[in-house]
This record gives sequence, structure tokens and C-alpha cells, in this order.
Amino acid sequence: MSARQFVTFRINGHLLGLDVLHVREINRVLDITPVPRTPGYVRGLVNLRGMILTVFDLGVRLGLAPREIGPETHNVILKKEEVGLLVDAIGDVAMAEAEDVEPPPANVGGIESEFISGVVRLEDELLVVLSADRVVHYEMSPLTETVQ
Amino acid sequence: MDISADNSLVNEFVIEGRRLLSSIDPDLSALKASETEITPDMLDRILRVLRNITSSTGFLGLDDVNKLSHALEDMLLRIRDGILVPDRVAISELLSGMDTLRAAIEAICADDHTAAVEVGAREVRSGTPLDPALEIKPTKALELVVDGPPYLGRVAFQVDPEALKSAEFEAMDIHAIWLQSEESDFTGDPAMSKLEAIGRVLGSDMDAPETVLADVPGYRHLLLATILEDPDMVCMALDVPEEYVVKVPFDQIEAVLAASASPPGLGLEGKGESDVHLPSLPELKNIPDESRPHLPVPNDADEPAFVASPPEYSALVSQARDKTIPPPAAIARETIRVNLRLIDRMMNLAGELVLGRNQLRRLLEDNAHHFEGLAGILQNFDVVTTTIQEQIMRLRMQPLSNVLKKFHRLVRDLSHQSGKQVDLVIEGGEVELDKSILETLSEPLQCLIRYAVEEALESSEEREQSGKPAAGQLTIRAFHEEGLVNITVTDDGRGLDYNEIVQKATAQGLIDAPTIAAMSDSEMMNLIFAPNILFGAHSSADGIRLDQVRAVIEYTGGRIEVTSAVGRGNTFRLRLPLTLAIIPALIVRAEDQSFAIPQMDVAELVYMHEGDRVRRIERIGEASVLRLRGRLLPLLRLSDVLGLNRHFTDPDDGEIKSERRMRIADRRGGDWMSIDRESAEEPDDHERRMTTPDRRHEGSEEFFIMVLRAGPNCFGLLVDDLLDTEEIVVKPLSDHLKDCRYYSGATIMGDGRVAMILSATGIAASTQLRFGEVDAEERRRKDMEARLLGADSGLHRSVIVFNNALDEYFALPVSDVSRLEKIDAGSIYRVGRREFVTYRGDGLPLIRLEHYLQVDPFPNDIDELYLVVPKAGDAAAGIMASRIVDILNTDAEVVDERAPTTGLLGSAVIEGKLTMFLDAAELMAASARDLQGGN
Repeated sequence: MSARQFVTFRINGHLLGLDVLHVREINRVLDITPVPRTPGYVRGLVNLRGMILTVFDLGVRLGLAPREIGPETHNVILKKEEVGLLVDAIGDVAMAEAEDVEPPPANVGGIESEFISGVVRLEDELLVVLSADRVVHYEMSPLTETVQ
Repeated sequence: MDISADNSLVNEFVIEGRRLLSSIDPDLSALKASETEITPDMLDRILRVLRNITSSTGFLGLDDVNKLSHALEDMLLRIRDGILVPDRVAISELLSGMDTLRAAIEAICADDHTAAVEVGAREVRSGTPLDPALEIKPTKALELVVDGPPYLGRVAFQVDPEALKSAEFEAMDIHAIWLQSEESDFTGDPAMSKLEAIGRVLGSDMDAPETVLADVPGYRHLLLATILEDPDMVCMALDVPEEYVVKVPFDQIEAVLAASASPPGLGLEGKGESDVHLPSLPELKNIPDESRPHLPVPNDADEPAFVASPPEYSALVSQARDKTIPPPAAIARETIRVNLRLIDRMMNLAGELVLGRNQLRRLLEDNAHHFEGLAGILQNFDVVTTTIQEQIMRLRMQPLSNVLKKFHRLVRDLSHQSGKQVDLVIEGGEVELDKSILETLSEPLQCLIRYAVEEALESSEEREQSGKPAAGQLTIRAFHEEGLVNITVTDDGRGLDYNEIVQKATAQGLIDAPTIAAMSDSEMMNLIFAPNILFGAHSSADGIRLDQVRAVIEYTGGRIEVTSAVGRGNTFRLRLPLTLAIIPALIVRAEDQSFAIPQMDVAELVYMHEGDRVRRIERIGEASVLRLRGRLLPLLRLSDVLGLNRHFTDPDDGEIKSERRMRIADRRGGDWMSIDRESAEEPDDHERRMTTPDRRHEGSEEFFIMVLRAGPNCFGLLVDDLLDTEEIVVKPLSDHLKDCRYYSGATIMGDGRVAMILSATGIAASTQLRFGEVDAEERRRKDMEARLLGADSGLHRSVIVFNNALDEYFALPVSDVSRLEKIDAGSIYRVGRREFVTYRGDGLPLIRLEHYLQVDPFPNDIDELYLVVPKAGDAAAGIMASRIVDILNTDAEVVDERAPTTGLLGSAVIEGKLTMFLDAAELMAASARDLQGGN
């Protein structure tokens, strides 16, 4: 029996989560410098205390529309990788036993299944757990990229 | 035997042992197949493996396996030395012994090695003695075996364990050094004092004449403990070639020390009888392919072998350390080693500090007068912050002399080899460069030196003949200029001859004749950097490739150029950034976004008025070009390059939105670049949308073009605005952006925002600029101009070459000719002795050259002929020409070798034909006199 904790956030209303162990911090450093001629999911670069981070538009990355920056928009900074993920809003930290994480269904709300590592049934909602590694490293097929 | 003490080492050995054994599988099967063909190579390979296994097992205390391996080794030695005949019995015994060894090593895993080995030992008994008596003579000193350069083999050093321990305690690194000395008495050698300067000599082979190389005179092998970590540094300090310094791996030293610290009765304290054989695990890890196996010298075959076995390896090491802490020796220099990553982090933090300072200053400056003394504090804070940043930068800096020093020896060696005399002068070794740049410089500089010595400088005889001192001068000079480090490599040799370079390039098939014909002098000069062109030796393996020099220099963000004077020598000039981390850059804007461009990439800035547009920007094919002082440069607009017109800032919510159809030309109203004029006609024209006009550019009548260097070419990049020059801290791009060649990095600006650093070469490559096309157009225009204007008195002049008699060639400078006319022979009429044609209503007198010069007559059977009408004031006349051969550029020298003849300037060979240059003025004058006299 081992409990896992998930940082949760919202994209298009879906509740998504990342294992807390993969997250360095969550902030509102949103002064993003766009980088032209890069893949669509690269929203740009930010300066995080002297370190330059690449910010992914998590919406585009998951195959949805680009995020619009609003008052609730946050940047979820990953550990190890110098990558931040732009999300619509931040939720609570969710807990689940490791065995409660179920294998991912084929498709959740239009999110590319490659990025989903599992789902957790919370009391009133379904938490889609993302794979940090895949979000950062998965190479989109050229076809998928042109769609955005 | 307790091997559980250090299982990880044992496991490592098992893995390594497997690998080693399988590496000689082919040899073993060969032995199995044909016993007759046993090559020394084969035996050496097997021996080497066995030697390693023996060493490691001895060290790990796997006595039984050790014995077996040792016995096999001995057997092989006897075969190799011809003592044992490798007959069927011997071979099969050897093979089964090897199988047993393999099984024994496998069994170590299963903790069951003893049983297997007993079988093995019994099996090999008949062929070989089980007492391995081939150890070195007993000594209290430790033996440290080091692999030298392949041709020197291995050397065993006798080392005082105490000295080794104290060196280790002081965290010194141990290097084995092969020194050559002309002196037989080494102590007087200046090298010795150099050695003392950087560390302590722990041991040498001077007392060990048995070593492999004792018979090579002048070589001394030394074991040096030094604070220098890097073998390269030792090379530099001692001025010896790199391959002559070998760093002794730390774990090998640990192993040797550990073994020396074996419990009493096992090792050193056995009345000097026992023999300490010190194998090492590192030996096992890297078997040098070329080195011969280290063969111990049998001194006293009756001495019983003894293998030191440290049962508790790590415990003993620490024990040894605790017991024998030597008094710290005088520290040679006040230095400490710092992890580079730590420095990088400090640099980051210093950058942050600067940012914080800027923000604080901005906030407080206006209110400073409210607080007494605040201005002073701010000022102080300012200075300290800047100093901290500078000093941290300096941590990475090292003097250039670290690299330059070793070139004395290189030049000496090279000049010996090539039989030339060369004096090397090095100036400015104290100039400092970032460590990472410094490290990349060694190779290209070596190349340039080789080029200078082997190619550029002449032999002593040749030099004396041309009145130069016998010894060639080679000068390497380093200095600061324009915030960059400049390094020049200058020789006083024969200089670059275009023809030779062109020949070389042609001979190596790198370039074809038409391309050469179209080249300018400087382009020909640049051929020495052409990809793959080889100088020096004629095999690709050791030829000098200057293109690689350029590649390396450009990789570090630097540039290289060459200037040359025939007969006086070449100068290669390297211009390098001080550091990769901080570079001066221009900040420019395109579509409200800031970008940095390294100043190194910027050749010049062109400021233009609206009115200049029409005159200076035009189109060739699809591309826009900029006219700049007679040159044509491909021209790009930054916002087009980056596709920035696809985004605009929504005035309502301040968000950046994608707008696919919008074109920059629409926003500006003016389509100043011809490419836009064309694109405006594209079918999606009607979909264009007008958006908020960009106020900054509305009605703007001036703009900036940066002329950027991309390798040998230049191109213009038009930017919306030019902001400032800043020293920027370059940060590498993350992997997600690495593929994007437009950028070379990112930086954090004064306001805390990130800005991308543009790469000129990347932009040129990504936009596939057609430099060739633009160059061709430029040349075409130049040619045309030359034809129109005629040539100046310079080297190149264009001449009209024509015939009178069909086999005699005449030439007139184009600049002296007013026109060429083609006429029918029938239209010629005679007045007295002279012939005329009617031209624009007037009679134009004709000149037959044979009337004025000693030349063959004009052919009679020609229906159509040409008239060359020289410029000569009012007295017009046409020189009759049977054929116009060519109009061409030539730098052929006109030689007046005849007795002075009126009407002739002299002759020259043009395109292989002896061609007579006419003196137009004289001819005209003669013709005029003739006419007057005739009348």
C-alpha cells in the first residue's frame, strides 16, 4: 500500500494531474517570450530566477486548442526538465493509493492517449494522470503537429 | 577466502573476466582447429587476457583462480619462447585449462569456485609447474605499472609507499611522464627544475635498468605527483608531447596502496622475502590494444610467489589513511579545484543579482533624495554587483599561454622534420580566454603552425636566395581589440599565390574551371578554406585542412581571415569572443519582439531613408538584394524570416494571436521590398485584413539594415528598430528548441524578459540564401561596367583583340575605342591613295595597318570587315580589322621589346597569342599627317 499524490490542474475543464514527485513548483511567471519557428506546443521561454525555461502550451501539447492567458492561468514547472506547462487553473493536491490508478481509457475528452498514464476515480470526478516524461519527450508525428 | 568483503569488485571482475575470455574466443577456436598455425599475435592476445585475470584475481584474493590463470600464463609463455612444443597434447591441455578457467570465473558468482578449480589445477599439472615463480624480486617498494605510448610499452615504477600515500592525501594527481634528455646526467637537466615547479617526483625507472626501454638512450620515465589535474596541463608545463604523459588512474593508486597495507605477515613485513605483486583492477578495465603484455623479469626463480590479499579492501584503505597522515607538504600554489558546475551556478546567480540591482535602482532612483545617503549606497551596491559579476566570469578564464607554450616544441619538431629553420616568437600569452574556448583552440592553431612551417615558409637556401634571413620567422601574437581576443599567426614566407591555390583546388577536384574564371582575387584566396582542400602531405590522413580550422573557430563564435603578400608572407587572424558566456550583442526589434544579434556577426549597419529604398533595394529573380557600395547582398526581413507577420497583438486583450492571412506589406502601406509587390498579387489577396496599424512604423521613413556575416558571405537583414548594444549572458537552448537553427541561444534582458539570440549562419542556411546567384549577378554587372567604362590603368584592363592579316593579332584598350563598325568591303571607296567609307554622311578615312606598321597586309578576299574607331578628338579614322577576336579582361603585361616603332606600344601574350598593342593616338596622328600630305 503506497499512496501517491497528484498535483491537479484544469485544461478545457478536464481535471488533469501529474505525480507530485515530477513537479518542481507552480507559479504565475507568465511573461512568456514567444519563439517563432518552433513547434506549436512551444509557447515560449520564461525567466525563472535566472534560469530559462521552455513553456509548453499544455493545451496544444495534448491536441487541444491553445490556452488563453487569464487570471487563473498557471505555469506548472517540472522537475529535472527545464520545462513549464501552461494550464488554465490549478486544483488541489489529490491523493490516491497506487492501485487505485487505473489504466487509461482510449481517449479522454480529446486528449491524445499517448500522454495519459492512468485515471483515478475521485469522489465526484475523474482525474486524468499525465505522464510527465511523455509530455516532455514524446515526438509528435508530423501529421499531428500540423493540425494545430 | 572471504570474498564477500567487496562483492561489487568481485562482480565487476566476473563481468570483465567474461568479456575478456570471450574476446579471445576466436583465437582459442583457431588453436583448436589447427595446432600448427600458432601466431605470436594469437599468443600475445591470450597472454594479455590471462595476465589481466591473474592480476585481478590476485588482487581480489581469489587464490585458486589466480593459480590456475597463472599456470596457464606460464604455459603460454613457454610456448611462445619455444621451450614448450605446442603439440596436440599441450594444446588440448591449454584449451581445457581455459575452459576450466572460464568455468571457475562463472562459478565465482555461484560462490562455488574452489571445486571447479581443483579440477582445473589437476588438469594443467602435467604441462606446467603449478608454482608460478615468475615474480619480480622482493622489494619494499611498491610497483606501479603504467601503460605508456604504444611504442614505449609499459613501465613498472618502484615507488615508496609513504610518498605515494602523502601525495594521495594531498589530492595530488599522479602522472607518468616520458622525458627525453640529451644529457646523460639527468639531474642537471632544466626539465628537472620544471618538474620540481609543478610537483614532486615520486619515482623513476633510473634505478630499474631491467625495464623494457632501458636500452633506448636519453629516455627517462618519471612518476610525478602534481597538483595539476589534467595531463594536458602537465604537457604544457613540461613542454612534452601529449602522448608522453599518462595519468595514473586514481583507483589504481588506491589499489596499490591498499595492497601495501595488507596485514602483517602477509605482505611487506615478511622479512623482505615476500613478494608483493600488485595487480590492479583498472588494468583489467582498459587493455591497450597495441601495448605488449607486461612481462615480469624472472630474477630469482626460487623465491616463493606471494599474493597480497586484502580481505577488507575499503576498510584497509581508510585504515592506511588514518595511520599515516603525513604532515601536509608546502603547498605549491594557492589554488583549489572547483567544480565547473558550481561556477556556472554562480554565474547564473550573479546575473540574477544584476537584474535585481537594476530593478531596485529603477525603483529607488527617483526617490533617492528622500533618504539621506541612499544615492551613495546605491552607487556602492552598483559597483560591487558589477565587480562580482566580472570576477565570477574571470573564474573561467585562463591565460592563452597554456595553449601557446607547447608550440615551441611543435615548431621545433616540425622544422626538424621539414629541414627548415624556424624561429617562433610568442607574444601576449597573458591574454585570457574562457576555458572552453581555450580548449578548442589548440587544434586549429596547431594546424595553422603546420601550414606555416610545412607550406608557407621556404627552405633556408631559398630564403637566402631571395635575400631573407635563413631562419623563417613565425610569430603568434595575442591581443585585445574591440572587445575580442585577436590571435595572429604570421609567417614571413613566400605568401599565397592564387594560381597555386587554384591549381591545388583543381587538382583535388574541388572546383571546376568556369567557377574559377568567375572568381575574384579574394575569393581565390579564400579557396584555402575550401571544404576538404588539403595542404602539406598528400594523404588525407595527415594533410593540413584549413577548412576545419575555420569550422572550429566559427563554432566558438569566432572568425578567421587571411591576408597575404606574395614574397612577404601570410597572416592568419583569429578573432574570438573572450568567453562563450558573455558576448556583446545588438538588440533589435521585429514586430515588437526583441532579439539579440552577436556583434561578431554584424559586419556593418546601414541606415536608410525612404528615398534610398528605390535606389538601393532591387530584385534578382525571387530575391531582394541590397546595393551597397557596388556590391549586391541578398536581403531578408527579420519579421519575414521568423514568420512574425503571422502574429499580432490584439488591442482588446493584449494577447498574441495567430493571424494567418495578414501580410506585413498591408500594414505598412508601402511595399518597399519587391518581393512583397509580387506576393500581393497572390490569390488570397482578398482575404487580407487590415488590422490596427503599427504606429511605430506608420509613416516611418527610415529603417535599418544589418549586414551580417555568414561564413564567407554577407547578407542584409532588415529590422524594424535598432535598440542598443548590450553585453548579454548567453544561455544554451533547451532540447526542444535545438533543431531551430535561427537561434544560437537565449538571454535574459535587463528588464528580466527572455530574448532569443539570432544566428546569422543559421538564418542564411534556413532561408537558403542564394549567395551564388547574387554573386553572379554582381560579377555580370561589374563586367558590364568594365566593358562600358573601359579599364583603368590598373592591372585588369579590357581590350579589343582583332586581326588584320588573319594570323596577326592586334589589341586596343577598350577605353581608347569610341566604336566598332561592321561594313561591306564594297562600300569602301578611294580618294587618292586613301580609302574611305561613308559614315553618317561623312567620309571616314580608313587605316590599313600595313601602311603604318611592318605587318602582313589585310586579306583581299574579305567581303565584310570591321572598323575599330579610336577615340581621338576630331581626327576620326577607322582601323580596318578582318575579324574581331574577342573583348576580354587581361592583366597581361605589355612588353616593348622591339626597337621603338611608331604606332606600337608593345606586345603581350593574350590567350596564347602574341598580340601587338596599338598606340591609337600615334596611328591617328600618322593618318592625319598622311591625309594632309596626300592632299
